[in-house]
Amino acid sequence: MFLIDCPFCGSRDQREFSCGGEAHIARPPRPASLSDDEWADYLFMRKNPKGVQYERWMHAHGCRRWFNVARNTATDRILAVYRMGEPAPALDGQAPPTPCGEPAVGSGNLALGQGTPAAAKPRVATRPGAPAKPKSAPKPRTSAKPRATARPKSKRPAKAEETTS
Amino acid sequence: MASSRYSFFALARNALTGHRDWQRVWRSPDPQPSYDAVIVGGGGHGLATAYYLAKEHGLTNVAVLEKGWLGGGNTGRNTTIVRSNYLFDDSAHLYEHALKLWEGLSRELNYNVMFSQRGVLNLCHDIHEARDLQRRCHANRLNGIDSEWLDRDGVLGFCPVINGDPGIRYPVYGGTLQRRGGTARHDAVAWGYARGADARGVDIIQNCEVTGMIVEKGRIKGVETTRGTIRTGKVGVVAAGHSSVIAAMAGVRLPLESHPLQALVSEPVKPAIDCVVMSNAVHAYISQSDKGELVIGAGADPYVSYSQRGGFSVIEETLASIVELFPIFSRMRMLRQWGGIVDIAPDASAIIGKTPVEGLFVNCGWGTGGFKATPGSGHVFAHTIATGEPHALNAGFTLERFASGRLVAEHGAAAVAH
Ligand SMILES: Cc1cc2nc3c(=O)[nH]c(=O)nc-3n(C[C@H](O)[C@H](O)[C@H](O)COP(=O)(O)OP(=O)(O)OC[C@H]3O[C@@H](n4cnc5c(N)ncnc54)[C@H](O)[C@@H]3O)c2cc1C
Ligand SMILES: [Zn+2]
Repeated sequence: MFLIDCPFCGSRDQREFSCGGEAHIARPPRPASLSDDEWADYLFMRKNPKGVQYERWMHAHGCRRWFNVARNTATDRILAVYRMGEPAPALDGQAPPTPCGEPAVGSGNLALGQGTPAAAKPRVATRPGAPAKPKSAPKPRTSAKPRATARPKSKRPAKAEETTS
Repeated sequence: MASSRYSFFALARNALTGHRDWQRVWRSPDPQPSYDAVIVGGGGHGLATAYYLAKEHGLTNVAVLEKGWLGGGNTGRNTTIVRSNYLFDDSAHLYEHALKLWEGLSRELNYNVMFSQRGVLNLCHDIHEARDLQRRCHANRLNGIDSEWLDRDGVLGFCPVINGDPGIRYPVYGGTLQRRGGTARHDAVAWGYARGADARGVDIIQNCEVTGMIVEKGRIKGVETTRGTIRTGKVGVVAAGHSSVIAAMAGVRLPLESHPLQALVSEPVKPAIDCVVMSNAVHAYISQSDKGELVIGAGADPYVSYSQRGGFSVIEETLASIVELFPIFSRMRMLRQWGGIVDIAPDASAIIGKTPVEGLFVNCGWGTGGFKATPGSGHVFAHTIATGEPHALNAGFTLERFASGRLVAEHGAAAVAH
């Protein structure tokens, strides 16, 4: 659940959009010359990163236009919004503290805003005011304080221990 | 190491000392510098794999590495529906293998997994869907799996709290029933397998995250963890939503996308619904726990995320469906909601087998519906790791199927997240 800044309409609830998955997967220029493995890679294999993902969205219940988003999949924080056809913006960021982006000890079942993995802060904003820039360099994993630019976040601890019965 | 057996007598004996002297259920050892095999992920599937490695293949110098606590992933977050009525032969055989193991699991593990064969009802709402369900029902029977077709009156007779009003938007047309299906206690499955594996010498190491893979000349040599380097020639990755992240450490690409899947429970009430009801068309599934809570599952969120929470709109849609199907529940209050990260493959089927890196095996892609497979998945994966080759029951679930095109397209039977 998050807001997406449509480059054409402005900030709207995610449910108005449909997600087109990983961006920048180019159709092979000479399909006939591809091996089965290369086809499998093109059709099915995905980066599926925990961290910055470049992906396509379409404003289905709005302008119905496609655009690209760079989003941290560990926190759902959107780092940049840019148009179709534009190259992926380089986002300079520290690597997350661990490959899973979580504290070294503990399950990493962090709720949003409970110590955002220091994935990446945007260097390029292709649309004025699109990505919210943190005021200071993101501290790795410990800060529980919501940033001024962030959406309101629950102060309650992660409810990860709760399971069905 | 060997844990004492649980029995009525053990219970009585421990009652005398105020239940203060129960043995720890498993040890908490420090990681050794090397093992014969390492399992990454201490969910039900990983722990079951370790259990069967020790029990069926005599491989006991094994570690299970879990970054958090046992069962803290999807094993502890799912709605625990167990059934085997899948359409295609490959899936039907694998899930039925699991169901048969479920039927004897409490006894096998000497641990009550509370497996309750209360019946799973799959509803349909129009004639086209009915034909689909009937086809699946016939396919199941040809595979020796119990499945019955019920018409509308049969459905309402079996589960009277379902809304029989023909005037609702998606009136109930009929359904199929698998009487041997039901639910189980999710945590108990993880704990029972952990206890059994530990008793056979497996090291279960919690709070130990795998942070890297040591690959030399195309062979796995070990793993880097937050508790040091561990050398091993065999690694089984059983990490559900995090499978891609771990495979990437070894340079392996997987055809998976990780999505949040949510569930919620109501306040506990007296018994009202004594079976599991699922509907693909309106997308809802529900059962009642032994504590009395309604356990309700939602659909997967449509974007990749590891945030373990999803969008509220998904909850709204789910509850709208539940309330239309069960007006009796319209004034229930929901107590808790949570999300798990499910690893979805393009054909909605699991990937159990080898990878391009020798000695590195994956068991993933269970997506929204792998809890029911836990015992069977662990059993065949242990075989795969021990022998280096798939068991007959997982031979169809290789990673290579995405290149060969021999997919196991179970979106039909697995259309609803469960
Ligand atoms: C809301 C919801 C409802 C569901 N309902 C059903 C249902 O009704 N029926 C059904 O059959 N299935 C259901 N499922 C699916 C089912 O839960 C899963 O398919 C199954 O539990 C997967 O088990 P697992 O052991 O493979 O994964 P998990 O239990 O997720 O275990 C994987 C473990 O790997 C650990 N891990 C990850 N990365 C690392 C690392 N780097 N190092 C060490 N450890 C790591 C994780 O912490 C985790 O504990 C549901 C899932 C969800 C989320
Ligand atoms: Zn728009």
